[in-house]
Amino acid sequence: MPFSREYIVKRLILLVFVVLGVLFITFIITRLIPARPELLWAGPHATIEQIEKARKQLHLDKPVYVQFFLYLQDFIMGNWGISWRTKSPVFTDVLSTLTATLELVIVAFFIAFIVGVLTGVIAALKKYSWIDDFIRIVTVIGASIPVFWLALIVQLVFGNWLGILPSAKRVDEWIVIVTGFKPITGFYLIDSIIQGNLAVFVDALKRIILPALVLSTYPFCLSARMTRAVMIEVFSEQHVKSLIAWGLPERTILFKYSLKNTIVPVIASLGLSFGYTIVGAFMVELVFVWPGIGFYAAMSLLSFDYPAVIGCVITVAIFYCIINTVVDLIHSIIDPRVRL
Amino acid sequence: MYKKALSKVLVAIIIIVIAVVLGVGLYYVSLPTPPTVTPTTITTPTPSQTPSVTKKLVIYASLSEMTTADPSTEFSNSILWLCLVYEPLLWYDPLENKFIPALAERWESSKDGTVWTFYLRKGVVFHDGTPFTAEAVKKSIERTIELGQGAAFIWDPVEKIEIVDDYTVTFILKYPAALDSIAASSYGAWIFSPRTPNTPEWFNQGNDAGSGPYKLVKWDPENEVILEKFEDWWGWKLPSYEMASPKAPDIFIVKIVKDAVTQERLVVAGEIDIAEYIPLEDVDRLKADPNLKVVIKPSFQNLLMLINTKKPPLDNVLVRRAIAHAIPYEDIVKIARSGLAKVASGPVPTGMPGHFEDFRYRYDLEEARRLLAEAGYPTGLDKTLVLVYTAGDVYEQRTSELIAASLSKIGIKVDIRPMSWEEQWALAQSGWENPEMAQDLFIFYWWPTYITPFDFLYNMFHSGSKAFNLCYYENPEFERLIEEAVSLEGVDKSKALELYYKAQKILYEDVPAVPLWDMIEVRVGRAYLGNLEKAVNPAYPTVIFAQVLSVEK
Amino acid sequence: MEKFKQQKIILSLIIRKPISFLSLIIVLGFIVVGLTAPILVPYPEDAWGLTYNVEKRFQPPSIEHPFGTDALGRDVFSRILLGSSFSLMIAVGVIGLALFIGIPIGVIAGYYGGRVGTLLMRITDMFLAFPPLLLAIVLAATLGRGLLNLIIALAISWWPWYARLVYVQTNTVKNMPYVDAAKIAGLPNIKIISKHVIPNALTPTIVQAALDMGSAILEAAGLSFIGVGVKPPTPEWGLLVSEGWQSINYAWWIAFFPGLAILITVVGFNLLADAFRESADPRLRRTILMRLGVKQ
Repeated sequence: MPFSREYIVKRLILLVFVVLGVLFITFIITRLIPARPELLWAGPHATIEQIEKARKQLHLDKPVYVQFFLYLQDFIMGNWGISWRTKSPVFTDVLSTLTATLELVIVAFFIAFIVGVLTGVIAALKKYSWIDDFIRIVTVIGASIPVFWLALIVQLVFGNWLGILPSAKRVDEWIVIVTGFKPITGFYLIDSIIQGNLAVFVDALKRIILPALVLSTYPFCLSARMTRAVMIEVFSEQHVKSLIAWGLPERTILFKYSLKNTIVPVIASLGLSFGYTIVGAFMVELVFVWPGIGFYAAMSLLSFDYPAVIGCVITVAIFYCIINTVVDLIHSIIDPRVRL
Repeated sequence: MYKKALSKVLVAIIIIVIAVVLGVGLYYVSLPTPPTVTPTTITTPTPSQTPSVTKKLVIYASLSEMTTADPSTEFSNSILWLCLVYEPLLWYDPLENKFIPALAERWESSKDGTVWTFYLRKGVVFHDGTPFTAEAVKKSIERTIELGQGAAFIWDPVEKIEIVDDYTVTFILKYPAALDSIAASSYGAWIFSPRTPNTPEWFNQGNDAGSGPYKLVKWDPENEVILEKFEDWWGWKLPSYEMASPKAPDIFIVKIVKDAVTQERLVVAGEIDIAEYIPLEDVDRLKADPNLKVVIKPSFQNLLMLINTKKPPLDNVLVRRAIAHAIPYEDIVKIARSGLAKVASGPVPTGMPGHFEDFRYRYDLEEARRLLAEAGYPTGLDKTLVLVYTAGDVYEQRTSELIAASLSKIGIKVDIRPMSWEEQWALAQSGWENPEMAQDLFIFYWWPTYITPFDFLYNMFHSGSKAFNLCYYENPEFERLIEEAVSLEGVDKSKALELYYKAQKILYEDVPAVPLWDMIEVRVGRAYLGNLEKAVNPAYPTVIFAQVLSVEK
Repeated sequence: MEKFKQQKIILSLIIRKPISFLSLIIVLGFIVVGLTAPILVPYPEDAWGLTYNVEKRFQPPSIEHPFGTDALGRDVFSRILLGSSFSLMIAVGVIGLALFIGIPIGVIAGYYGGRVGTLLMRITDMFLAFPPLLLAIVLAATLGRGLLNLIIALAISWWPWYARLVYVQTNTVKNMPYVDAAKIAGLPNIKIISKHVIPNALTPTIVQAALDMGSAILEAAGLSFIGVGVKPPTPEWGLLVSEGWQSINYAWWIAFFPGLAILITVVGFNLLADAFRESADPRLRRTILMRLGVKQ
């Protein structure tokens, strides 16, 4: 059986340690760097009692190592502090924004994966031709583009000048009220299908296209380049070369022997670009008024809402670690050679 | 081996996909009817019978999120919907300088201005069904005073509230005051039902206890607030009442849209009906759009630059005067507000009683240099001044950049620091203890709680107002003048104004702050919104009185 | 001699390919402009934000103002030009600081190994567990706005990459015969590190770091855009885009051109990095050389 329980357990234990590391660093940044963290935590207009309360909440009256353990405990219990801006617990705020971001990121990755693999295959088949060069330049540009600027320009051109697609919000309030749409899972595309609400589905789909396209730029470039590299490598392998020599049709070789091999590295590259993409979502959501965690974080940053910013950062970092672990596991299941 | 693993994963994926599709399909099939018309966010009595399309819906985009929902203590953005859900005793229209009766039909005061009697409207019910009586007035205002937060200070003059009968209530004051203005305050003057729980928690869960034309049906302060018409509101049944329109919207949504650019796009595309903020340079273009309607009205919000009067070299009045003469007021209005503001004359904004036209500083760099030289700085200041403004406010940013650029011409270097309002305020607070550590210049908005010059002059310049006198200005003569003036407001208006004039003259000479501009507000709405102009009242900033709108859709 | 030849081949490879050549021009151009911009700018007062002009607000691109003017009537071109100096400063600062932290940690961990090495690399891994930019965001939010804070925040999120790179290189070099020889000859560790390990382990790191300047510019711009970077009126490119956003419906050029400047610069660095990678890969190099007709 190529499937090792031992490896999975090992990887999960490692994940726990990595998450602990993330929490440790945020602990240092938020509790040890600021001169008086309770002031940042209590927020503006805080009275002496409120500051004292914040001191208690942050356990600043205890020794540092005790503070760290209590900090871990608070984190696990969901005591992430109260946002100054929204006056509600950061934990619930963050939870309520997660699905919007996930929907956006999943659509973006879906686009990136499909288009990226296709582009990569074309580049590999036509390697060293002008098409390959062109694709290479496009992917380099795509990986260098400031995502916030691209978002602004795309919004301006498609939303405003051409008026083809709506360029803000997740769904139109009017349609929601008229059709009585009520989110269940929080993924509007899925919810609207479950409820058979075509109007909301079409509207939500139209609204997700532009931000998802912008967000997919970076993972698209990465997966295209990865596909190309792997394909070229596979084609140069001896057994594939001999297949070509035997005169097997190129299409058979492509689908039967090469494309399959690209899936794993492409998934790995998408996993790598997840971190970049989710931080890019901070800016894309800000521009497209997308009510996800990125928008919440960007707004909190603008109003210096410290507990909220920290909550978002920890959530995103942990998500990133989990995604990396999952990618590694998939990798190891499909390709046991990785397990070292 | 490797191939086997791959096929296993593939099989697993296929099974999952089939399961999901089946699940979704079964769920969909098992539903009795296509669930298209079941309004769940809005609780209409018989949703299936009222075709929801005929409902008049108006969406208003607000730049800032809502704050709290407690009518006694709220002192911030929630005014936007509180004005539609709750009612005061009186409304005030400053442009025509008249009071509009709300829950009180008539009122009178004793000659010395210390006893005020309000005769209440009959046949009013709160949203919970409780009839409105004098008891509600007494209990509401007493709760506000007891909690002592937000705008509770407006009731300071009140000694006690007496119920004469169910529809008559008398206020006995400690000292003479204009209680009619106070009763029409934009904060802290709401009357609510005495039969509801009325705890801060209860309110902030999204409950309302009001009597106004709209009910609160969804309270999601960060994203949207949905109001629905209260059919039993007394105003709908009073055809002659000026604060009601037969074609008022059935549903009014406050949608939080946090930037002006997006608000503009949404209103142009017709996705929202009214935009609170748009980039001002676009006003002319929007005016030309036949689908839109641009309302331009004066407001009582003004922008000032508070000067740290306790920190050298700004403790020298000559330096402060030099600064006042080195600020290009006209250019600031043109650039920061695209002309949609008026150069300020004194800290009391244009259109308010107590505003006078004689307090503008002349922009004159020669004069500024002369004053600076007289103060002992012929080549400019050797110290860099720190100017703080609220990050993200584009008007403040442009104003600050212009001030910095202009002051550099007379040899004053300015370091501009964008900060969050909270950070700014905390820094400025420290100035009372240690003015050296605080900022030098502070770009600052003010707007009145209720319509009196005292609100401006006391809060920003009286030494008793530690929270907002961020010039750290102390001047006993000025303080005596405004205290006397406010006590005369309810008795002898012209004498009060005379004293306010004298007080502002002192500020003009002393320059604890430089008033920059008085804002002119812009609202952009869809053309089918009748009475949009009437729905904007400068005494209640950011509010759209939805009940007077006439939706011609 | 051998080495010199190899570098020459790489260089000639880069120059021969038009795209790579173009990227080299962009990068050199950026550096030259960045160094001389304070002298070059046509309207220095506009660039530094020391003035404004009511009559010239929102002018579209023209000969006098090739990129138009902004909300305060300032020349956008001048501001972008001066912005290149700030971007250069940020890039050099971030990379320099990150190398300054990363190299010693990588060398110590790689050369001495053992418990200290493991501990150092575990710490490095902890930092690498954060998605890029995220750590910089939280640091910048904690430290406050400003050019120096921005550089510090980015450098702290950046050094682990170099520490890792140097660690790997040191590990390779450490086991080279000449290091063993030096050890047997009784040279003190410090000498071995400074004479053999650092020069050999460093070259690839420095090259990588130089090419990373594009990413540093990109990330700094992102931080400024979401409001935790530099303060106005600093003409940093990300901040310029964010300022232009306010009036993008009316005057697209204010946000468009600074973004374009970021894009071109970063593309230049990334294409160059790409070319380096390609020419450093022997298998690829042979094919390219063959296609270019260069005799080996």
